[in-house]
Amino acid sequence: RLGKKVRVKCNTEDTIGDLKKLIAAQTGTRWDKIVLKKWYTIFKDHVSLGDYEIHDGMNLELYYQ
Amino acid sequence: MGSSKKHRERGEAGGSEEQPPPPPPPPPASSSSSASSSRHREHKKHKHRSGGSGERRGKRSRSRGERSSRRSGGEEAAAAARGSHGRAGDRGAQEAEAPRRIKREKRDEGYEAATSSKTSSGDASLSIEETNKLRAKLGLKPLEVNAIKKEVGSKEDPVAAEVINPIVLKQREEIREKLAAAKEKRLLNQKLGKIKSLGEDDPWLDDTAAWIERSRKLQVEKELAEKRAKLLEEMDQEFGISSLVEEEFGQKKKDNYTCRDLQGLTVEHTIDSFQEGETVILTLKDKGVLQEEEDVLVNVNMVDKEKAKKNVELRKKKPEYRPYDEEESVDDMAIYKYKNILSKYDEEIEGEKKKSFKLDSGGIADGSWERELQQVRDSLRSQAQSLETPGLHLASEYFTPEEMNITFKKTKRRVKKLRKKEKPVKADELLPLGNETNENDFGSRLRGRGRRVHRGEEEEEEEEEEGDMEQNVNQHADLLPQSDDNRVENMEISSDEEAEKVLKSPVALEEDEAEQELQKQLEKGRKLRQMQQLKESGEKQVIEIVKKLETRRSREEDEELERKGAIVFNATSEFCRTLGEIPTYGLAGNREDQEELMDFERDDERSANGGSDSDGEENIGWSTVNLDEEKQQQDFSASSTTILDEEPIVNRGLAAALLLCQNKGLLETTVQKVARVKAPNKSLPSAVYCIEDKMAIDDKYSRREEYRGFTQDFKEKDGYKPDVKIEYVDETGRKLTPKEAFRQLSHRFHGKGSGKMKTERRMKKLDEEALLKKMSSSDTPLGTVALLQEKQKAQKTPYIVLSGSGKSMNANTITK
Repeated sequence: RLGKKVRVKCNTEDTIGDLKKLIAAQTGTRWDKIVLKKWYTIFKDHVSLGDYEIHDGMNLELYYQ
Repeated sequence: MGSSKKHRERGEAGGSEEQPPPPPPPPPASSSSSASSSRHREHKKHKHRSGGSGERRGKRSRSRGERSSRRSGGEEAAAAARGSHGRAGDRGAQEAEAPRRIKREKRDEGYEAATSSKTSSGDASLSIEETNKLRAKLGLKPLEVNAIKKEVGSKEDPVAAEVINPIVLKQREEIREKLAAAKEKRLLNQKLGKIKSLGEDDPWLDDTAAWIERSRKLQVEKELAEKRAKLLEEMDQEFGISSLVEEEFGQKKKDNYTCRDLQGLTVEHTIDSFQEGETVILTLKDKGVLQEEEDVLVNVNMVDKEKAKKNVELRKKKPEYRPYDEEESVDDMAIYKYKNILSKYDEEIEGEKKKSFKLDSGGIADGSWERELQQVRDSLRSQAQSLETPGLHLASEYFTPEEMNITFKKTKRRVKKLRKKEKPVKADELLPLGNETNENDFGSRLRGRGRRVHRGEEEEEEEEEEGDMEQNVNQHADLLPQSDDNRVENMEISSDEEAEKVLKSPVALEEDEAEQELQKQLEKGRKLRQMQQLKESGEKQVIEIVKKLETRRSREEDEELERKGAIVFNATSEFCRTLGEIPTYGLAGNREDQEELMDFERDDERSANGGSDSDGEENIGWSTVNLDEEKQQQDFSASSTTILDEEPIVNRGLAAALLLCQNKGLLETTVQKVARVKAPNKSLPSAVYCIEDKMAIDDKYSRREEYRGFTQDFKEKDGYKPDVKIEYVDETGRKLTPKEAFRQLSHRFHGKGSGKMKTERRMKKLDEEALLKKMSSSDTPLGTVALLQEKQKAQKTPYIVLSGSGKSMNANTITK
């Protein structure tokens, strides 16, 4: 597998945008360039993780746009 | 080739290893490639080792990479991070391949994290403080405390993460379900727990004390209830609605239904069809709404059974028409029942008779009346006399002992008579009766009943030596009206005749008066006959006859005396007697000895017979068995009937004459065959056909007759439109189609018909057409249905058993 794997600690109430920022801080890219997906579902920035039912240990796919 | 690639890859990997301090990107790339290649390699079965070795190499490279990353420092933090990340990724890849190395990964990660945290770049995961710092920078809330706890294990103290075990999850689900089911059951049981099951017994059933207690309780309760009811009633009465309440409750009582309510209903089955001890549910039989007849009870199953039985009987196809059946039949109860004409249709016309019985007042029916009937029937049947003749059985040649006893009984009557005869006779009595002797002719010429006069005389002559008394006795014996049954008498006096004759004399004669009367009557009859005889023939004949009789009797006497007067029964003679006459006796001419013996007898008898025939009298009583005479008579008759047919009387008519001639063979009845030439097919008809020569019209005079002018249709025939139909027929009379008609014409024209093949084909076609017409519409060409029915009738079953192999079951075996 090519690519990066990042583990991010965050709260359930955080939004995807916040998550992206954290990821960006760890990976060293710009947060608005990150696209988080799960198969074909693109996670929107304004929705919280809790609403997406993203639990602990779940893997999301990191893409760049 | 694949292997060479691997070699190259290996080479690459090797190459990567050889360059320890390459810039971090290449090694990760190479390592990643190597890792990938190693991964690929690992998938192959026989490349485990290589995979393993690849890993080791990978690790070595990683370690080198680590060192390099450490060396590189912060500037290349990102690159290092990338590298380490790449390495970590590699490791992750490796771990993906071998999932059991998760622990190592964690450890490594932790290690990495620890190391990388120093580089202040969050790669895999950051610690909480760092994360919080980051979040503060970004403007986010710090992390919650719960999350921290979870994460502790992973950072500081590497703890094996919980494996999400699907099996465990399933088990948990199952347990939950079981719990839920158990809960439901409990609730249900609580609900139903109030109802008692059959197995449970109340404690008060077994224990008397408990039962007593319970009964007391019940009684108490009853009393309470009664009191309450009384109170209520009083209240009702106060309010004046007691009557209403009573009505309500009263109706409920009426609904009780007992067997008494079934009084008078009919059950439409025979009482015998119900067996003892079984419960049969009866339902009301269907009937129309407007019908006001009584209700009828039936059992559905029994109705179906009866119907099925009836159908089976019908299928057996028992013959309905019994021509030799008697017109009336006697019933079981000796009731005379007249059978109607076409009795098989009675059911159709009048409707089916159904046997039923009624329930009496208590709603009960017992079979006692039927049983009585049956008893009466049986008794009547036993009393009945059968009209059958005793069965035919083979006649035996010999008498059975029983028959001997029956047929040849020794009647003791005569002995008594003899004894009676032997009475001491007085001379006085004798004398006056002596006159009668000559007058009476006690003559049946045959040996039969008659007077003993002559016998007495003969005896007298013979027994002169013995003494006067004997003579007298005998004479007296003869004189007295006696029946002249010599044979019987002589039977008795078999061996001891002489002695008995001696004995006879002293014995007194006692006669019954009845016997005397009888003898008087007989004597009268005989006298009359004799009178007639005398009138016709005159005295001479009488004298002759008397003489003959004497001689005959003497001879007979001689014979008898020789034989001791006994009639010897020979088996053969008896057999011959039972046979009767033999029509062909003596015809062969081999019966000479018999003839000789019987000659003299025959002469006598013939003459006697002749006389008797002229009289036309019958013999009273015994008649001799005249085998010879009858034989002879038979001969004549037989010869006249068997050999020659009765000649048809010619004067009766022409038909009789012709018949006679035919019989005699005077007529030629055979048809003489005229020599005829058999016409060959289709050749001769052409002889009838003549070819018209139209050129013959050309001669002068015939031409004159021709009309060459204007022709016009007849005006009066304008409306005439005949329907012309020309039908052609072939030799058998069938109508021909146009094709066939033309063929027929052309055959006649050319003078020759079709060849052999063609005619054969035509014949075949005609035959097939005929067969088609003969075929039955309701049956197969082989007549299978008809055969089936015949077989069923023969076997008397509603089915047919198909057995045997296919070979045995062809049309030849299924025969009518």
